[in-house]
Amino acid sequence: MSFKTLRNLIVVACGITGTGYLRMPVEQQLTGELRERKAIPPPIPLETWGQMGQTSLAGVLGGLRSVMASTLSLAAQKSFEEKEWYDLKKQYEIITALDPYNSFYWDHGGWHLAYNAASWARTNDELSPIRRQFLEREFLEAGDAFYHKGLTLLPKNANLWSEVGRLWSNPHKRPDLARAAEAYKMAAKYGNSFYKRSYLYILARIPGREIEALDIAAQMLIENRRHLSTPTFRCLLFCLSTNPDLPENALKVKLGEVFVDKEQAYKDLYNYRPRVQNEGYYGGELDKVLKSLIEELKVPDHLNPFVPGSKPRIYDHNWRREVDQPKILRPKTFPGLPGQE
Amino acid sequence: MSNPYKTSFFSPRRVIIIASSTVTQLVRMKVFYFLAPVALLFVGLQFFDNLFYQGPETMVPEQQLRMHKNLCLGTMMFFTSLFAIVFTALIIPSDIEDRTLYTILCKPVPRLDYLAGKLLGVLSVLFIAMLVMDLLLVITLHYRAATVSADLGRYLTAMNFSEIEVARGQAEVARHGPTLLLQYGVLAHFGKACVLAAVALLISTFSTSTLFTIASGFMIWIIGSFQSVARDGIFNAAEYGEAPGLADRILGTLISLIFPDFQLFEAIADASARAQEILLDDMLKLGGLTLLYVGIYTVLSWFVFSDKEF
Repeated sequence: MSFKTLRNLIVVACGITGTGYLRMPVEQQLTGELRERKAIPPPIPLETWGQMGQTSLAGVLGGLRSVMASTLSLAAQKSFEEKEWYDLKKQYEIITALDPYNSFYWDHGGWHLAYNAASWARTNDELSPIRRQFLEREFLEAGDAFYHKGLTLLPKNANLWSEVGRLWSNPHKRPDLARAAEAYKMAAKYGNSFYKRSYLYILARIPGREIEALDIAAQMLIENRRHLSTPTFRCLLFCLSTNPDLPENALKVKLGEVFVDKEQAYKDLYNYRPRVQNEGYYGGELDKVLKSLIEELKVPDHLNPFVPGSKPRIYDHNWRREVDQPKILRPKTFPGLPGQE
Repeated sequence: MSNPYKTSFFSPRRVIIIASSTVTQLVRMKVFYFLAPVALLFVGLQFFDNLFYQGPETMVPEQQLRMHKNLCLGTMMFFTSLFAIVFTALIIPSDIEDRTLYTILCKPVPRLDYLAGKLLGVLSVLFIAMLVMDLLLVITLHYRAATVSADLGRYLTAMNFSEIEVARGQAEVARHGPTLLLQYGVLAHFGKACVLAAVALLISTFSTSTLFTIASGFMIWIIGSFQSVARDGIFNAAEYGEAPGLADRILGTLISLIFPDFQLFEAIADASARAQEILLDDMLKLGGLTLLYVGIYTVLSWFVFSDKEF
């Protein structure tokens, strides 16, 4: 190496390190500010580095973290189609490490585990019943853990909270309504009226929390009267206010204050009744009110929920025709069977 | 009496003339042809949807826009960074090969003017390319955001949401449309390309091979993306558990001092794709850092190039 080259190298090295010394505190300060505002994602965990493939690694090394996350999320579809659940979980761990402030990936990763993987485990005939139960439980909890991991980074994300609530209130999973209510409470705190309604509906399904549910419904009504345009909200508000254990100062609404007229009240309450029977929604004096309306409106048998064989649901557009031209309900007969006409 | 034939130390006019000839030189190399597939990609992304979602009640409409922005900004960053290194690495050897360099340097043109002109020419080409890609991004994103916003409005109205909530939902979608924030991301990528071009210029002044310049440029691009990890280790040792040893600290300090920090540029571009707030102050600091990098690398390139013999 000639003297000139050596001299040049020394000068260049000194120049670069000298300016490096000046700029380093500025860069560190800016990095700190951006990290505090969550503009810079946390460092990728060591174990995630080991799990990354060559392509993702190259992308990340080139500074394409969020682009790699987008493309990997599309590639993860293949693992879903092939039901490779552990691979899928690993892929979503990488995706969320690459783009941790994107709630969509937490949402999807949790959904794949808690819904798709858990359903696959529950319905897989190749597994023994015990193994099926064990796996389903494992995937449900893995999905819940995935959602919660996302929530540690995005604690104000109403959609993620509501996903946790949806998971633990799903009748096809292993419902835990108290757990669901806690999640929906957080979703309602940070989200719009949709999440508030969801919170109310869950509370109305937990025995012993009916008074709390009515308080929430009253508060929602004060905030926005448009909630009354939702049939379930109308029915719930009315039924909750028929609770005999309500304190003196609690909101007590009358039929006419919630429903447009008695016909509308009957239709809504008729459709609400299966939710009380099947999903555990609060009923209060629903049956008593329905019976009095049946007499008052002269409702035919096939629209009377207390008569076996009545319709499962009343539709607005059919109501008038069905009341004016009532069908006579007869027990079903099977010609040819002994003892039948 | 002053000598009318004396050459000034630095002349912006000379720099601009050399820069414009560099632009012509690069345009003749058909460098803008890459914009055709990029345009196709940006337009094609318009028709590309997320493959799956749970249902309308849980849909995250802005995710479609985020993915669009991520892929477009990523493409812009990749091509500008790549071309910043390759163009700069090619430009001086190409002048030597076709003997243009001798014609220029035998005239009273200071070498600083020559280098600054070359760098400005490359940056101008990158700027034009970035501008075209940015325009494509803005147009495609505008149409996509309008479609997503209209869909969301219809859905929320059908679900009995109040007008305020519909407006709030649509405002959230609009935040992910073509905004000033998005332009901050584009600017951050351009800043990164400027630094990479200046780095490649410095390497090409003492390198004897184009391949070496390109390879070194790429290595610096990669190390620069992780430089902040080394710096964090020095400043925030406790945050990552065990304090680093002496050797790690020396290595970390050297990496932090020598290599540029590209994570800041990438973080601002990513935050703009997420529609996360970026302050004007952040952009000014980033602009200042870019100027510092480009300035120091250009001055050092001039120092090496000043007594180079051809």
